Amino acid sequence: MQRLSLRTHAVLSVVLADDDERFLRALTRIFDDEPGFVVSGAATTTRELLDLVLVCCPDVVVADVRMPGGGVVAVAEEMRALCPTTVIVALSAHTFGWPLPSLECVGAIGPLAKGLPVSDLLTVIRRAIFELPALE
Amino acid sequence: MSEALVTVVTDSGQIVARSSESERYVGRILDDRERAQLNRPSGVAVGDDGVERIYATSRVEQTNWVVSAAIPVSVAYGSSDRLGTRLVVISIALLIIAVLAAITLGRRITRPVRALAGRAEGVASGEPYVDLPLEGPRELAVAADWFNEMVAAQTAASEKHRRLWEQLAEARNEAADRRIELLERLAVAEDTERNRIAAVVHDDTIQQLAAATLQVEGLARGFSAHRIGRDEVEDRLTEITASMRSATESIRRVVFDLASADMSAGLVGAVRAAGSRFFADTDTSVVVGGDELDLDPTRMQLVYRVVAEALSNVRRHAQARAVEVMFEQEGTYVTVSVTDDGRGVAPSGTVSRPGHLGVRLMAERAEILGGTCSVARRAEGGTAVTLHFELIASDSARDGLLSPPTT
Repeated sequence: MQRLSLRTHAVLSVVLADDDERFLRALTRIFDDEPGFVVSGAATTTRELLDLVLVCCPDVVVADVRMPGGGVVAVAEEMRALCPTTVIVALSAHTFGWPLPSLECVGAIGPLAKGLPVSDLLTVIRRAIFELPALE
Repeated sequence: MSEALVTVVTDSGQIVARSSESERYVGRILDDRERAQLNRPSGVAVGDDGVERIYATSRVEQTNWVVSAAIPVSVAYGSSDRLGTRLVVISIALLIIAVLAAITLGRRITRPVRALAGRAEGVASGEPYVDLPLEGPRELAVAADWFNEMVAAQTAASEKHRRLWEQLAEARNEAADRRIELLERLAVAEDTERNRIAAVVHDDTIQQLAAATLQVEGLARGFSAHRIGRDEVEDRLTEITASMRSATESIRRVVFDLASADMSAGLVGAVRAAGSRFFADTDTSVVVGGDELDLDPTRMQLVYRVVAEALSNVRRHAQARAVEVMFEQEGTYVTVSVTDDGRGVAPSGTVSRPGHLGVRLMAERAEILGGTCSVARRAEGGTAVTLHFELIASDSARDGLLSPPTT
């Protein structure tokens, strides 16, 4: 409840990470344009992502599963150790018929499909932030 | 000489004296047959006593008497009859000896013949052969010797035949194993190819489409919330168009990868066309040259895929100014090299590095061709991909000849 009260009226800081620069740019613009979010940084490698988390300790991390350096899964636990309240959302281009296990065990949400409607992505993030039950 | 008979007869045929039974015959007149006999100097006649005699007659000079002397034939030929009997006995004895000799000789002949027949039957039924003894008449011993030699030759031929069959069976098994191995390689190569295409679609096409989707959604959300103006809409639409065009090009490349190459202009021509296409929007110069290869169509596609993959790698990773593809045939050996002057692969090479599906695919295709594919950093800079393989029968089957190298 403490986190809920703290973030109810706050602007949520977001760190984005994807090795595809065109996708990263489009994603950045989405969160830049979205009220209630501020993009704290964008990374194209896993190492850059970890550095940004260390510096910014954002409310939300939206990152690709596969990136040079291992992707978000490889550093999810480390990020949670640095910033325990950060909500980590993993994205992947492979979500259909691909053997990607749930990332709940590493404290991340996803992987969500790239191409998922932005409104759905934002809803998932907000429900996670406000500790509401996830939608089916 | 008691059996001898002397008779004196007058010309008129009256018996005047007789050495035996004179009282009975003296004075008797001979009949005409007997008188005719007297007129012959000698002969054989049967007397009225029934005894056959040899007789001889002689006229007594200055008389009208004729003297006849006769002895029984049995007396006259008695010694010669005994000799005849002796000869008969000897003949029978000789005959018996001859028969015994014939039997013995026959056995000497039939035993080797029987042995020969028995061996022949044994050979026909596949029994182990034991050499015939060289016995009996010389001709049969020679025949047995020939038969031994013939069977030995036939046994050697059978052994050679059996070994050939074994070699044939072994070769057939090896061919079957090779076929299975090839099928496995094909399956692996196909799987690798699928993964490669999936990776291309994932890394390229889906990312671009996802980015375009995000751009469209961002534009729609911003426009509906009146956060973006007309000018920015145009900018964003331009970006979206670029993304869509890029995604389309990416899909086109995938389709190009999936489709079989057009070999109507030959392998060199197909590679030249692929090179032009791959590097159409770059500053990289492409040179394709060397010998046109006369390959089996399937193998030609495999070679093309290896070269196309190498060119694709140059395009994506090498940052090269120039790339050269060279086809060289020396005898039945073919070397295809793709060299560039780009940044070069890591010194350790990339063939065995996991995740490099394209390079692995080149190696697998080379193995299907029965050859090798190496990827190496060039001393003068850049990368050299070298495919090396040998032509096989089906490569030249279409023309019946291996095409000679052209210069």
